[in-house]
Amino acid sequence: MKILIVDDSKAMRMIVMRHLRQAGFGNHALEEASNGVEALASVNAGTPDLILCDWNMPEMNGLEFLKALRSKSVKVPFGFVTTESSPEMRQTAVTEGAAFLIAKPFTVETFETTLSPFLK
Amino acid sequence: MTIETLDLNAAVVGVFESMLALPIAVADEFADAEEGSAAVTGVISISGDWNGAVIVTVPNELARQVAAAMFALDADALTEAEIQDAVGELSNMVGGATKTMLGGSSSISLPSVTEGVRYRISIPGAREVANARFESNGSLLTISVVQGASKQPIASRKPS
Repeated sequence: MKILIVDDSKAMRMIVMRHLRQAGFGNHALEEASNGVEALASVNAGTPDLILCDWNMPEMNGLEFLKALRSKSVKVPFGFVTTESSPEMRQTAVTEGAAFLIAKPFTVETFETTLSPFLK
Repeated sequence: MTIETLDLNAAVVGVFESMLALPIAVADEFADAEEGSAAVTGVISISGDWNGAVIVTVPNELARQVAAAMFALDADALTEAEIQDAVGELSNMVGGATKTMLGGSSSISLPSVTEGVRYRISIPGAREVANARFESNGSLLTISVVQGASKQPIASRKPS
């Protein structure tokens, strides 16, 4: 399976990839994008099986990226990995079609529990 | 939660312990960094129901350790850009946690990062409403939360 990791911080992309490996998902192909525009291009080149996306990013933020995907009827499972973890933000994420929201800082256990239903 | 009961300790300890595996402890009595010490500062603005900013200042040596932990690289192999990215992300996590604790409807900015020696971060019209000091591997990390005097987001306020 292919996982697309979208975050404007390379440091955070590295942390997410490390947590994926530590959670037992290291056998999946990992792709990176640094904002929604890059991520859309990546999806157009080949739809991933799961998207893990930051919320606040330059160029196109995570919510705009999610809306763009859903407007094109791209149904790939999408989860936010973000500091934006207020109840209001979580509700917005679900309303727009996100499957889950992982709040930073996160743990390996959170990755295991949250991502297991989406990764074989 | 209000600014008076803001739990900055939880925000910082969570980031260091769960994501960086670096030691961290509250350090109210820890000595100030020597004047002239080099440091890296990340700033996150919060705007909406609450307007202000979270300022995270990290001495160079600790900034390098934070970046090494994030990138899983040897500290000597890091670039300036990677260290700035790491402090920006650290500030983002602390700022995001602060925003969430404050509640209400607000948004946070992307981080801005400053580094150097003998500099001072000043946000016109804002006053400090909370601060915290932490020690990690012998370095002092400081968090300052400043609140704007008006409802106008401080990020868009122009100098008079």
